[in-house]
Amino acid sequence: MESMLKQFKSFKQIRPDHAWLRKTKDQLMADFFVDQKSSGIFGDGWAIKVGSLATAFILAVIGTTASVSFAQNSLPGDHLLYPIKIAAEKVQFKLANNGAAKADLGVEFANRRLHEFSQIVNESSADELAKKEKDLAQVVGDFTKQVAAVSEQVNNLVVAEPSNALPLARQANLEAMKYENTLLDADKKISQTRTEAESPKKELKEAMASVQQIKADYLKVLAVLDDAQHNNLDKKNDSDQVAGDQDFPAVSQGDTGNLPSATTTITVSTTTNEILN
Amino acid sequence: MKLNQRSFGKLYDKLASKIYRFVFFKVRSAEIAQDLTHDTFLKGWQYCQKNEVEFPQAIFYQAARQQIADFWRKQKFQVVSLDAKPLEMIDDQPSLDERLAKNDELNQMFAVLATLPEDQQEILTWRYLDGYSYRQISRILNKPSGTIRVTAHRALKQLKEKWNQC
Repeated sequence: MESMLKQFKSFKQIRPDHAWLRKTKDQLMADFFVDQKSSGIFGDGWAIKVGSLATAFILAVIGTTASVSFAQNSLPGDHLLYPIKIAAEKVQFKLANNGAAKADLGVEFANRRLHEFSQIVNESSADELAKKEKDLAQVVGDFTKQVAAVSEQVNNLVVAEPSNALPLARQANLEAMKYENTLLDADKKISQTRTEAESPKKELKEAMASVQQIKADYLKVLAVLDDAQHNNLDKKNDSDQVAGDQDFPAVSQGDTGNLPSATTTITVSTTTNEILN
Repeated sequence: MKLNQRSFGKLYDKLASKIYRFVFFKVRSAEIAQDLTHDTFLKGWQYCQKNEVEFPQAIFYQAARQQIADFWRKQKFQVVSLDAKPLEMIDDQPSLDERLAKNDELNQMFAVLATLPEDQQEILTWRYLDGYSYRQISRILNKPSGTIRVTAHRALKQLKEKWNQC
């Protein structure tokens, strides 16, 4: 009897996957207890107040489950799913741990806005584009905000953590070059279809200006790091001289090698000027 | 007792694996067991929110039974295939040989258990796997604890006889 019972008790090994247990608990808690709050889960004046069904969509979008939400493929103009997609991004942004993580998300979200913009422009006929004027203006405006947020994070980081600012600024600069091309192509196509309407021309100009700012930020980060490096060298040389070490020559101030100084004016290319003027 | 967020969390931590195992025995699929376990907690919690509950475990096991019954109703057959091998049960055995060896033994036990009436299977599970007392099991099934005790002894005796025949 004892060995049979022991064998029976080995059924205790039947247990669910730990990750599934945790995930399910989180889902259930979010479903049961989020709905009890009187304001939406996002707070801070965000527009959407969500019920349990939308919560499930949002949790899927922000990746608490392995499955990919179909809201991620939605475009401006989809009044049901697109707000959910944007709300999920805001939650993701809020949950990001630090400035660098927020900036990474900003780059990702800027990429998404630009992709959405390109998709609408490329897949719409002239008549359809005319009807989607507001959606286009909205998505370009959102793109500009994301890019501006990245620029802000870069500038914050360059003060607080200069060494961490460089990889972010470099990545943003690379993205900025792609953004420029996409914006120019889209502007050309839109120009062919419209005559007098101002938007999204105005929004495109603002977007291009924010992209130029990203490139300027990159150069600024390089200059700051270069200055810091030279300042450290100066201090080292000063202390070496006090100690009597004459092997390393002092670096003269203003000698920044091949890097431009922080006061260099950024020259805007003529093609970019076409959008800005 | 009304359940709040904290007590639900504790109950989940205590009960989720047991409910999962309970469901798994009936459906023999990890994925289906996950879905039904999730739905069990959903239904159980909805009930607990509207009613005063002294022994919430009973509610959740009842909810699990209901989910299983609904599942099989949709599947349109009642009997679990004895050929189904529960290879996915073992999560973290040290070696493949041990795991396979264990699976053969477990498969055999599974097959033997499946020959018992369902109420006997459940009582054995609650008593010897989940560690519930006869009194607690009687609250789950809403039957006198004396009846539960007798059924448990009968079930154990049958299990042993059939196990020895294999």
